[in-house]
Amino acid sequence: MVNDGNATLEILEQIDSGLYGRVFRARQSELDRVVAVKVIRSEYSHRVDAVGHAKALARVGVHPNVVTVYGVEQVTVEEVKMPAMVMEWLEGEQFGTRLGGPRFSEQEVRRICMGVLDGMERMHEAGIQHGDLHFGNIILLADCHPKIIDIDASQNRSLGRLSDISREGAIASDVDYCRQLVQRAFAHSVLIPSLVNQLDSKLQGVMSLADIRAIVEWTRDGLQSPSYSVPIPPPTPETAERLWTKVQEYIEGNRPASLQGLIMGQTRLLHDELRSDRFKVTGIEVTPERVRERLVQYEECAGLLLPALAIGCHWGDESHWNLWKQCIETAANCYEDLGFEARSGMVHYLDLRQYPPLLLFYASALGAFLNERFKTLRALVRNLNTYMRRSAATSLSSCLTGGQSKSPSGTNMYSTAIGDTTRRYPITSAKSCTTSSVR
Amino acid sequence: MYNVLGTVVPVRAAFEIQFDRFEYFLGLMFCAEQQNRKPEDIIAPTGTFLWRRAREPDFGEKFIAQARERGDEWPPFQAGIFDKNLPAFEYVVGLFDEYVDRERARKGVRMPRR
Repeated sequence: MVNDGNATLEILEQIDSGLYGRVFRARQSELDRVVAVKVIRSEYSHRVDAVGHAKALARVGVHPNVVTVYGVEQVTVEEVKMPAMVMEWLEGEQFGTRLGGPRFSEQEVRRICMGVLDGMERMHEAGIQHGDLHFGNIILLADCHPKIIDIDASQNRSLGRLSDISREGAIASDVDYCRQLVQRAFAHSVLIPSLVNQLDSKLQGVMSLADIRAIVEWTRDGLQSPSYSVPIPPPTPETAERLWTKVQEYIEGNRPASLQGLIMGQTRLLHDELRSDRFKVTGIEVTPERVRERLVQYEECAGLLLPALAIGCHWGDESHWNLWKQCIETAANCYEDLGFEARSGMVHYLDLRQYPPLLLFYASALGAFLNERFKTLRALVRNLNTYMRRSAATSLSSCLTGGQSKSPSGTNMYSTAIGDTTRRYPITSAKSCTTSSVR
Repeated sequence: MYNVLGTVVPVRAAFEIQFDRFEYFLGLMFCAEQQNRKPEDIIAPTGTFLWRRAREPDFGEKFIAQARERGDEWPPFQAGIFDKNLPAFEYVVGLFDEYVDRERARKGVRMPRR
């Protein structure tokens, strides 16, 4: 592709290809800046007007949540001369792609929703209907700052040409796109599902962007923690079996890095499970039966992780200690995140608090025992011994079966167990795992 | 635990034996760490073997026999546990068996006379 104007556009690479056009990353040498160049496919050039498209977006002006259009230049693509829209280059990823990645934090999800709403409101103020706000038309920059990058280029999206009734319909269409986007963004957030369900209910039947904005604002402090609800079906045995097969493959292939990644993935899965309302206990009477039931559920859930933990001790020398430690720390964090309050008489809450780290400790120890990795077992016992001395727990099994807690303080038992006074443990990436000795 | 770790030892009966051996061994290791304490001050985890092996008071003897047979080659000794010697290990087994007896009495578990 070459441009026919005075300014030189050096095409660096094609980055996207859609129904109506293609997008390239290019350099404007005169201005020494990287830009995005969109050309309309020649077969659609009779239907899509790049100049009109650019004009429409340009009417929005410079807005932090809408891509900035620099201008239109004539280019030749495959020997056909056509106008191309030159736009601001955005370094980020499409919202739709990001949905396959890590969950959004609460701050990130609100930033995305508010940013898109700001951008859409600006477009409507400028008399433009977007008409095609799908998940690929939003780019998330660093810190999940959103930018709307496109409008439906196949139609005249000027609201000014429409009657009042048609204009309302056109805007309602955009509102619906935004509603769907907000729903998907929150569904992919760290908020527990029942809270997202509350949000979904509120979003039903919204009529304007202002309504959606008010609902997103409401999530800051309006979400109510739910009561204990009907349990979700536990993971199936096949899940554990598949995991087991995978672990074996990694062992036979001597791929510790892969196993490490797998375990951290499973830990995150556990984290997500724990964040679900399945493990939320608030505003209800906590009876021993209910606690026992929840422990059983917990064990089923932790089952996703435990085979990996246990068999991971196949390599169980000291060098893998940090990996196990991270997994256990992560589980401890999960529990902290659940926000159980230690109150007088609520001993069962305390049981629940100390259950996951101990369960994981136990699993690691059993894995080490079965694989005759006694150095690992020794290291685990030394830590567990420290924990038991400090917590004055007389029976480990009582912790694992929902018996009486011996800790009146309600502190994070695992923090004291490993002699670390820090209450919070970041979920670290597999890359940050280091190998070190445990003595 | 069987539900989640059954994949490691798929047969339930075999798993139970292994699991009880594991819990017992874990208790021994805790005792070994605390053997300079008074016996009544020792804190060690117990487990379902308290009930399940109540009629097998020689549970620890099996470990001792294994250690005696393999000598220095016994993996726990090689890992530096129990001071790497049989007499120390036998002492810890005795210490833990006493502890287990007390726990059984406290929990009302019937057991045969030794």
